Amino acid sequence: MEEERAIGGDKGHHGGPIRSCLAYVPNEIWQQIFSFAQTWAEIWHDDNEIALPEVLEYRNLATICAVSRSWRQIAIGHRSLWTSLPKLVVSAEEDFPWRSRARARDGQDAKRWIQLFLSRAGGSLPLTCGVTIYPGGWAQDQGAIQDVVKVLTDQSHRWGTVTLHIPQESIAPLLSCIEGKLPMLSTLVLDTTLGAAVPDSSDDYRLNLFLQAPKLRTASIAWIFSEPITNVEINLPWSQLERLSLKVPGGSLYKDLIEAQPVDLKELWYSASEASVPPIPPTPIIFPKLEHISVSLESDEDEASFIDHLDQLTLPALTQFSLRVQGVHPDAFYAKVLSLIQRSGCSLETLYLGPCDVPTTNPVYFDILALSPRLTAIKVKHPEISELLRKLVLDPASPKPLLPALQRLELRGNPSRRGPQARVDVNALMRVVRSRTLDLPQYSTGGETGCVLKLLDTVIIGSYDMRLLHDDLTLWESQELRDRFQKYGSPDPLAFPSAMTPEHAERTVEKLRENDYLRPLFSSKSASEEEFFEKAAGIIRLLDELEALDVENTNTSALLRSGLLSPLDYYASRKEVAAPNMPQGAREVIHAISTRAKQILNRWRPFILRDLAACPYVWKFGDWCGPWLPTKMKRWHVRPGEEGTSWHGLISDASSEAYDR
Amino acid sequence: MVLLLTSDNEMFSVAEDVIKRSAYIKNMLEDVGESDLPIPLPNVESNVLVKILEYCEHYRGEPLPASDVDPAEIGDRSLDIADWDQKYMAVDQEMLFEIILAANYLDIKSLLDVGCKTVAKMMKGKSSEEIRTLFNIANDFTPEEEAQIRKENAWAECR
Repeated sequence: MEEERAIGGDKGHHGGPIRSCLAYVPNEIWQQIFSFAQTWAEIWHDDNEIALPEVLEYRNLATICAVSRSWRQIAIGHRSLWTSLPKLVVSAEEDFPWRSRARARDGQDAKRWIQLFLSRAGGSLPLTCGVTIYPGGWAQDQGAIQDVVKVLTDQSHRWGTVTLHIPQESIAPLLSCIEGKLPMLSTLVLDTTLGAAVPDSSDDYRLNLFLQAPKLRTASIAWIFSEPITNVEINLPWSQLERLSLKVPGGSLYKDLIEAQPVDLKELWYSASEASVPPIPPTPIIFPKLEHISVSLESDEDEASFIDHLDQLTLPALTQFSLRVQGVHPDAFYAKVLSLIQRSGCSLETLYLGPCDVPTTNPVYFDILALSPRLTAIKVKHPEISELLRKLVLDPASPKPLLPALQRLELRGNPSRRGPQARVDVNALMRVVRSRTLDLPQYSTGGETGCVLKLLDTVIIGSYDMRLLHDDLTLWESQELRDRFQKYGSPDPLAFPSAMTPEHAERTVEKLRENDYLRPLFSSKSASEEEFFEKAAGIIRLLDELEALDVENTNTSALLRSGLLSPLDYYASRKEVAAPNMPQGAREVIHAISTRAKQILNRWRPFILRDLAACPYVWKFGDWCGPWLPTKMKRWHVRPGEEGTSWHGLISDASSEAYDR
Repeated sequence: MVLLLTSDNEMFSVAEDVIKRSAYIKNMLEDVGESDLPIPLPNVESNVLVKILEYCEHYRGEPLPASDVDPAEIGDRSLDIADWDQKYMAVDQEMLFEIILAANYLDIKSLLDVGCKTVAKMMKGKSSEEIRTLFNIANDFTPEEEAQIRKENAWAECR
């Protein structure tokens, strides 16, 4: 390896003729610019939707180091650029049987890159490292994996943040050498859920590797119990943790944590999918700093012991509270939660209480809400919400309105997804929405409300009948917002041109998506020439229909709901496409499609904005994109100077937003 | 009001709450107290200061970032740039670097961050040769060094 020198903070000089101002850019500024280069990595998909961000990250630094001597020296001299080591990812074909080709990183290449980064990272800064080993990859080449991982474990005394997605049975052979050698470890992610490989022995499993880590403050453990192992004991330095996420089938981890009394604990997520929490000693416990607690117990067993445990807790700093348990009586459940909040004197900002079979008609539920005037988000999982919606209509004149700061309301109708989907009472829902947006006196001035009243920004709806929701919303717009539509020069909300009824719009979106966005053409797995031109012709016919649409006389809020904008934006943004083996003339066709899609969006834009001024609610119907996505309403508001960002957010795909929570 | 004297001898009278986005000026005002004397800015020309003040004016009233945060080490590493900032940074390359240098000198962390992100975005997706062309940088590697770099990067390039 060539000799590498760190350089100081002198003025950067460049080897050739450069523009004058660049010559005076100090090295530390170039270093800062280069540090952003690490984030160039994008969600980048191969043929089969497997993200490959880690490869790009290192290519960025490699590119920078190949620009000039000066840049190379500056980049290599900035040690913190190199402390995030290349991730080791090992998989075999059997790990992804649906993929056309396996992505198994060559262990020796990874080892060389890790060594290169280590040589440039200096000897003292904490390291960030990550290892992802799929069970098939582990079964195939354990020796080579151990050889590469040893390069990392030899530096365990410098681990600051480590992320391990590895099979349970690989933990001992790979990591046993790190025990007691983790003086700098502050963040640990350990996930054994990538695959259910069968362990070698049937003994109970005990993990003590991370028990001695004096700086460990953040830990995230996700674990599968692999048969025949039925009991796993994971020991962490519980008492010193500040942030902890445990996603396990069961076991005693929660009990161990509580008994250790981690007084600095700020955030706790605990999710157990199979076994119930073992009885916790009835000792009063105060967690003075705990701001966020989320507990989800999926077991069908009676969780009364956990509910009783709530009586022992005092959480004065609690602001975010999520509790989902099964098999408890609603009266006891709500009473315990109310008692906890009263005893703690906390002021909640988000709340989700989710015994799935318990409606929110219990009066104590509303006592809990009334106790929490700073709540900004609530989530309800039950179709019986009429009482809730009735009470959520905001009366700003009331001396004590219910949830005056509510900004996000999430309603899940039929959590089990079995049986018929319920119908949302749109009139009741929109009375709530309108009372918390358009009808607030502050809304007309465009300013945010004062310190108490806040505008409702988001409504999430899942597991309801979305077809009826769409139709009912259109009707509601016609009945309740007709005056506003007239004021802003929008057409009658029910005035659909025959060419674009809601059903037609929905079919058009489906067809646009059916064509899979011409994705095969953008990847190495190209379509046949015949297939390509057939798909392209179909898209062009759809664009003809959309181009002919009289948007000036169409209620575009209904068009918006149908989800037409995001596929159009997808095509519009793919003007220049190059892929191996593209049919002759394909680039020109794609270019033409892209240009027309962009023209359609540009032509629609003023009318969509016109109608959003009249009806400032943007609905994105997730169920029409895929049954796993909820439907989301966002209040439409544009800050001065951010029109472009808002428009981009409107037309870009809703899926990433819809996945949140 | 605060008086600022640029390197080309232009005087600017600026509201204190506007220019306090500059930690350099803010500290100077706190150290020196009120004064009728202008603060000399020998590293900032008037046309650049106009742009800097445009930025400070836009974010007038917004909370100042914590002074002990080193943006190169922690914080938002994404390349997302607010809409207004993108428009603000839509200047020629020379002015872009002048803004960055002035933001660095005046210690306006948020502006420095936006400037660095803007440059990083300009480099995004480009090969080393394209980056050289973009910034008019000469390739001063010897053939042997180039061969070494090619070898070093072979793994990343082939993926």
